[in-house]
Amino acid sequence: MYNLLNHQTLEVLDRMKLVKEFYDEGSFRIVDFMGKMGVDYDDFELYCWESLDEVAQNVDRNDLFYEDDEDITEDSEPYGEVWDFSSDDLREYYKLLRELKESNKITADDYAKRKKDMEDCICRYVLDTQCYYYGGVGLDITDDGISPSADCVRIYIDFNCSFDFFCLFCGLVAVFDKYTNLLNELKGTLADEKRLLEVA
Amino acid sequence: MELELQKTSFVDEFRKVHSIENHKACERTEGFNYLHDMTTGRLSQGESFSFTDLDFSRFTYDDLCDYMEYYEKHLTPKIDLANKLFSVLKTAGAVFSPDKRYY
Repeated sequence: MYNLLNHQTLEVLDRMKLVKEFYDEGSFRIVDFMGKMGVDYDDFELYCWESLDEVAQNVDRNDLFYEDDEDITEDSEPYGEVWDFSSDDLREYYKLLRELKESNKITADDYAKRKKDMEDCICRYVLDTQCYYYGGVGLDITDDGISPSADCVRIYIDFNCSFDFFCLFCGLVAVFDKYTNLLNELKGTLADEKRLLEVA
Repeated sequence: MELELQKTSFVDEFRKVHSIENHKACERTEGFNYLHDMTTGRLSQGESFSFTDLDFSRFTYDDLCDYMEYYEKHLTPKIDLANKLFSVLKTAGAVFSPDKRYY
């Protein structure tokens, strides 16, 4: 009975709603990630913070300062962090899209639409789930294929504002699962087309 | 203030799905019952649950929303009452503790 009375079941179920939403959208890692932590409501945020670097294959984190780079001293306090997330599937997806556009296998409109759809999806997963908060998280998506940090999802976190780490974490897991699913889907379509051409 | 809680019926409230308002217990969906068994049902038997214990394909998003509504309307008031009662007992226990001896 002690367990029953002390368990914040309703809060856990509320968190489960977001997990279920992403699971239904095709996130295949979200349940495993959540399974690694207990269902102690107070541990959610800490677990998500500690596990943020497991969200994608390549993760880079840097502090954000009010001062310019040359003015930063030992006494400078960071006001936030910037995280770059990238994965092989994300890079391959955009590379493949660019190749398809260049070889006129997809139109420029189709290319732009696919990019825009994914940008909207990332905003929906990462920002819209923030509910009451939102202010402490910013988002940038680079997919130019040129700069060294190209093809990544960049997240700005402002310590002075409020944000929900759990939502941010779940959203990012779902984003990178989505890239994997999209890449497999695209590869599948291309393989089908190739097979049809061979038959014809 | 008078508080009354019968242990057997209290645990029973959590072990089984009950009919509330316009929702009959027997008409609940399979997903709803699955969620109940795997979360509150387990807790009522002194067990815990984890996300990995759950098969997310066995219930829908709507099942989850329905279950949360059920939990909020039917079970939360009972938990609040029980917590209030236990808090009274705890306070009383602290006041009348045999360890506290005053000479």
